Amino acid sequence: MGTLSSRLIIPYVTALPANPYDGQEVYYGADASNGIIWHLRYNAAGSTYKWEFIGGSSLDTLVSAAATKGSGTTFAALSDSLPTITIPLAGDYRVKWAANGGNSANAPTYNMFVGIKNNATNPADSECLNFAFESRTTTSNRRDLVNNLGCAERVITVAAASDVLQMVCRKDASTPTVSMERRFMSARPIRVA
Amino acid sequence: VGVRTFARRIIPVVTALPGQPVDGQEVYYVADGTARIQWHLRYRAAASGWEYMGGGPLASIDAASVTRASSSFGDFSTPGPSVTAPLAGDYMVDWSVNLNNTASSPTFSFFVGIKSGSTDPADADCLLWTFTSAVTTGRDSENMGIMRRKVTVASASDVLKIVARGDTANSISVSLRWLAVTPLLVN
Repeated sequence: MGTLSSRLIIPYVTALPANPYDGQEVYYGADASNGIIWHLRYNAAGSTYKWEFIGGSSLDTLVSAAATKGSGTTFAALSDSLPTITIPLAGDYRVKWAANGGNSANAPTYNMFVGIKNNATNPADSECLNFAFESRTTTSNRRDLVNNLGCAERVITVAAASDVLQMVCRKDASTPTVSMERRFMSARPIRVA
Repeated sequence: VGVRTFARRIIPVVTALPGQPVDGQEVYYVADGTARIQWHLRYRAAASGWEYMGGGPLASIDAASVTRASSSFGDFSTPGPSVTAPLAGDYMVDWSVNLNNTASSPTFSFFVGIKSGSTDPADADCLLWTFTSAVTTGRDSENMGIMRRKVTVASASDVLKIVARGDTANSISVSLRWLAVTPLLVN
């Protein structure tokens, strides 16, 4: 009977139980200082990540200021290395991000890709926001498509607790320098371990 | 004949938060009875508030095309959209508009943000469009923007509303305005 009654109370935890049972639930403090709590339920028949997300808030970060990406066509962080989110538990996450990408070139004809680096792994182009600058004028002093605001969302598997998700960027032409501002990231768990 | 009994956890549905909550107490709070929006909230004494565990956002949308021609924050020609926050606290707000510039050679910035109660947003807390075309003909047409940030509501029943300003008094047209509001920590 004691076991039954104890199961009626969902505990608040800051680390997942070491020996969970099927159907066990916890309120996990993902970022207690910001009131970010995840309601998780253990599914013994689940995949690698057996704690399934029932409810709660996402981890969010917003950087309003502008940062730049200079020469080079490979993925790299922006000049301020932001934004980032440190993920507290390994697992599958639904990640949403957006940025205001600014072109500074006249007659721009290049693509800019903005995605999420998962710890040490850069994204594929197909997993990124894609700002395609395609000037249709031969006027040399044209700056069209100056600003574009984009938003994307995808599922990302985080291999280990404390891995970092970071917004990164690349262009398919080495120049010009591009800038981005109003950058936000949001990560909500699907299932974790 | 054996009798099997089942105990279950009862979380009350409330329309006002309990006055003397205890650590770990949970409620289903009716945020909008008409729209059937309930929030699962859990009180955590260390946070001095009710933390959000689940439920739908309060949302509002207006598809109409409206204008704003001012360098100070204020309503569009038709105000809103808006959401009345039922509880004080911190909320995560998502919002978006579709901006349509009709000026040739546009050289201006336009800010679209969330007013909380009587407090206008800072420029840095807004969606930002910066038009710097140097041509004398042609138009930059439509851009859709989305943004997400934490907004603090000082008092219950304060209104969260989309407002805008330009850095000139150019008339700017927007459409498809929407915002969605989800609590983080409320009281």
